[in-house]
Amino acid sequence: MRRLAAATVGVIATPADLATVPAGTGIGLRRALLDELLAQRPALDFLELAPENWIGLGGRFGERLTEIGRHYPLIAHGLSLSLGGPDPLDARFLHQLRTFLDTHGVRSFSDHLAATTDGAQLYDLMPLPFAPAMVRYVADRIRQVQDVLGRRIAIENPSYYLALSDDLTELDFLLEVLEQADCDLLLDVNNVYVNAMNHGYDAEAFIAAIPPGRVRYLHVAGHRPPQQGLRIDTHAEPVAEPVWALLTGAYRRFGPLPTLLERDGNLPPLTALLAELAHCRALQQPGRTQ
Amino acid sequence: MRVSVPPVAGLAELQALQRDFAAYLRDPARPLPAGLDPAAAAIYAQLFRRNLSSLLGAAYPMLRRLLPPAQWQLLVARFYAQQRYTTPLFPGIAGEFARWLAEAAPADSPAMPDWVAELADWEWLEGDLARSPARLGPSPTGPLPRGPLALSPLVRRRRYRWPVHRLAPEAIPARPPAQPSELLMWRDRGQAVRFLALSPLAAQLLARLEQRPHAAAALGVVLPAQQPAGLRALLERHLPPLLEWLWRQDVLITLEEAEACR
Repeated sequence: MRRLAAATVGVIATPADLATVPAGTGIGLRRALLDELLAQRPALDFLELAPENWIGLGGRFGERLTEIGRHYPLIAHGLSLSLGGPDPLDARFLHQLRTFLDTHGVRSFSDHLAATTDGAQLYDLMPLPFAPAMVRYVADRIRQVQDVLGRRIAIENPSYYLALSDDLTELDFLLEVLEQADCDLLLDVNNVYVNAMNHGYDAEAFIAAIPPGRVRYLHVAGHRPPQQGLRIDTHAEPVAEPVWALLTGAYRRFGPLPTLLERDGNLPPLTALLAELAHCRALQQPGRTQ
Repeated sequence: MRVSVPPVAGLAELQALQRDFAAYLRDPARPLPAGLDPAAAAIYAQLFRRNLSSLLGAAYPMLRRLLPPAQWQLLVARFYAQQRYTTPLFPGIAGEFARWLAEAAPADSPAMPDWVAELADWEWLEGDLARSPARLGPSPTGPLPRGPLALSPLVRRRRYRWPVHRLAPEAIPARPPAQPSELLMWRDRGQAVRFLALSPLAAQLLARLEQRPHAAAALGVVLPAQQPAGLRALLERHLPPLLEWLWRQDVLITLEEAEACR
């Protein structure tokens, strides 16, 4: 495979401030929130954005983003790298991405352990076959991405509704990729819960098997109650009680890791979102004293 | 869970499976790879289409409102089945939808109302101007300058068969009006996107300025090519305030600034 850049093998030296999420809690940055956030300046430790929505944005949105970046630390969570996709990595996009991250002083970049291409963009996350050959392939691509972006990245464990291959378990696949790629994990606690329920495994045991040093930060979100036997990770409902419980367990294991509350659909007023975030912070704080 | 590839599959086999599953997700009429759970796969396909529908619906709110839901869903599904765009940027894929509606959709979806492509283009323009990285300097003070004037790079002129700027749920004409709609959309120095339905005089004036910059004083002479005496008087009365207004609205800028923006 042709490499995107002269690759350095092994651990890449990443300045710490390019691969860490500030302590505390944050929410996702959406265009519709810009004015409200700037007017109210609620206490948030960071904001997370999808670069695919913001790269190249001028006008009022571009100005507001720059202003937001002066008041809040920004982290980025991508959706389109197609780390496990069957196509070459998009070198042009990776360079655009690096420029964007550098320009806005973005502290952390993550994407999904998924495929989003089939020769063209799918604009959604396709699950990866949990197989040894895929581990090697995706780990190699993650290292290439880290080289081009000049920073260590984190990968998210996505929700999935069917397994394209179960040569490996989801957990073993994830742990092997983390090890071989030497990257961080963005642990989505809601996805662990949804996957555990849908595929019949023990969510707490899954979390207990993850090496603490690998986890950069946590995602927590709402999901849709079961339909045709499947829970769907929608980000359009409040966080479910069992997911809060799982999050509390994650804090016990990993300490009070930075946590992002995801909400993409059925958006409540900002005050309601902040109230939910306050609950998250209350769970996170006791962890800090342990 | 179902196993659909042989144990210890090679990368090529895994990638073939990924492509086949993606083909099914784009168009569930295509075969599902053997061994995959049809119910879970159908949920996946539905989620993918719903996700795209919400992305496109945010970019085309009026189009989504005006189309019967089933027709909107059908267009999104057909688009998804056919599109092969590689842009990872979300505004980019929304733009491709407007192009597809204008170019491929009429043949693909004959039942699509005639105004759909024009309305989509109009809604796309608004977002495209709002996002454009082009920028104008601070507001100039003083009257209309004597030097050559040009259109701001943040101005778009359109002629539509349908009055897309007036379409509303209770206001969709059965057929296009006799006169086309001459419309102007622009972003001003305050970054607000505005639009205007143009008078025939304003449309001609802007068409001229699109071709090449003119000094304000020259515009009365060059517009239109042949001037009957009555039109000349009309021009003398209406042109100066129109130019002044377009200047104040940031539609017209100096040639110097227009070149600096390039």
